[in-house]
Amino acid sequence: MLKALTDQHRLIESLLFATSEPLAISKICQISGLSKDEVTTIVRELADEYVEGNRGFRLREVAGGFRLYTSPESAEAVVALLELQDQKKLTQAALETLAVIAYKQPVTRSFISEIRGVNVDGVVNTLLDRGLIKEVGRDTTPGAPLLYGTTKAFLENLGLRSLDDLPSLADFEPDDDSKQQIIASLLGPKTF
Amino acid sequence: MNDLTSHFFEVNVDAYKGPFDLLLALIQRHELDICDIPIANIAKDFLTHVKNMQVKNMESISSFLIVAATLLRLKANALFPKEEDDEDLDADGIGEGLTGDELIASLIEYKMYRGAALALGDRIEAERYFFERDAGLEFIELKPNFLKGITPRDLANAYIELLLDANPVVDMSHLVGTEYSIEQKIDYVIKYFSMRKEPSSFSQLVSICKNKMERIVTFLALLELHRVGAVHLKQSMNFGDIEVRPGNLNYVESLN
Repeated sequence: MLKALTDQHRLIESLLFATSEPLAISKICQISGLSKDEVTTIVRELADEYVEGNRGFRLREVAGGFRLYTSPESAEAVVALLELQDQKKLTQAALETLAVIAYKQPVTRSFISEIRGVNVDGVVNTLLDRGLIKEVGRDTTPGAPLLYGTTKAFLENLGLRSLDDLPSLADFEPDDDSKQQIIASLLGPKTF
Repeated sequence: MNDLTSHFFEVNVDAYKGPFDLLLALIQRHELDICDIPIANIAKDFLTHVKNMQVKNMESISSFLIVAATLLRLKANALFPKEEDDEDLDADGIGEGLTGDELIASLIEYKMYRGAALALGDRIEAERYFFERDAGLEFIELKPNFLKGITPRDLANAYIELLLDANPVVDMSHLVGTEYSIEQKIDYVIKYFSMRKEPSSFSQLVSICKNKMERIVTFLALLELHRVGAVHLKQSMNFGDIEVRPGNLNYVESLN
C-alpha cells in the first residue's frame, strides 16, 4: 500500500507542481542533488501513489520528462471548468500524413505523396499549423525540398516519452491474407 | 453484367483520401476482381467521377487517373493467358504510370501506414482525457516582493507627502535645446538651389554639417521638400549617394 513519503518525495513533488513543462530527470537531479536512480525511484513511487490513492492527478513521463496531469476519470469536469473548446479531430488524411512523417522522418512532401498516392500540401500545412510537425532542414536532391519531422508537441499530444515509444511500423504490415487479396484482385486468379 | 461491377465506381471519389484509399476499400469489400470488370465500365465511370469531383485539382485528378490507367492495363493483362516468359509484361509500365507489381507494393505499403495512422489517432484520442498541469508564473513568487514590510499606514503617509508636494520643481537640466530645425534647413536648401540651378547630391548638401544631428535634420528637410515637389530625390543604388535636383521651389510656400 502507500508508503510513507520522505522529504525527498516532498521536494520532487514540489518541483513537479511548479513546472509548466515536462521536467527532465537530469534537471531534478541537478536541483535536488540526488542521483538519477534515486530520482527515478522517487518519481515512480509518486506516480504509483497518485494512482493507488485515487488522486485527482497523475504523474506521467511524456516528451522526455515528467509532468503532472489531471486524472482521465475527471476529464469531463476539467473540460467544464476550463471551458475548453473541443479541438477539431485530425482527418484520416492528416493522420496518414502524420504517420509517414513520424516513422520516416525526416521526409519531403513528395515522399509522403508517393506513399499516399495523392498530393499532401494541404494536410502538411494543417499539421504545421497544429504544431505537430516542423521543417527540419532541406534534402540534398535537386531543388533542395524541405524536410519535415515531428515536434515535441507531437510527443505531448500522443503521450509518448520519445519517438522510440511509437509502436513498431512492422506491426501494421498487412497480414498474408490481405496481401493475397490485394494481389488476386489486381492480377486475377491466373497468376496462381 | 456483374452486379458488383455495375456500381464499381459509384463511390463518392471525394470521400476517399486518394486513389489508394479508394482501391483498398474496393478490394476489401470484394468489389474488385480484375477479371470481372468490363473495361468500358471502368473508363466511363471513372471519367464521370473525375468530372464530378467537387474540387478541380489537377494533381488529385491525375493521381486517380494513373491508378485507373494501371487498372486498365492490368485488365488487359488478365485477359491473356499468362506465359512463362511473360514477366516483362508487368515490368513494362505505362509511361509514367505504375506497373502491376508497383501498384500492389504501393497498396501494401499504404495499407501499413493507414494502420499506423489509425493507431496514432487512437493515442491522440486517449490523450484527450489528460490535461497537463500548466503552472503559470503567477503561482510562483519569482519576483522580489517590493512591498515587503510596508504597512497601509506607510502607504497613506507616502500619499499625503505627494499631495503636499503638489508643485514640485521639475529639473530640466538634462534637457538640451534643439540646435537645428527643419525649417532652417529647408531655407538653406532653397537658398542653395536658388544660387546654382544644377543638380547636387546629399553628400554635397551635408558637407557643411558639423555633426550627425545636423545631417539628420538636413535629411528630414529634404524629405519634406521632396514631398511638396520642391526637390527631386533619386538614389540609384542601395546605400549610394542621393541625387538631389531642384524642382518647383515655389512649392515651398505650402510648407508654411
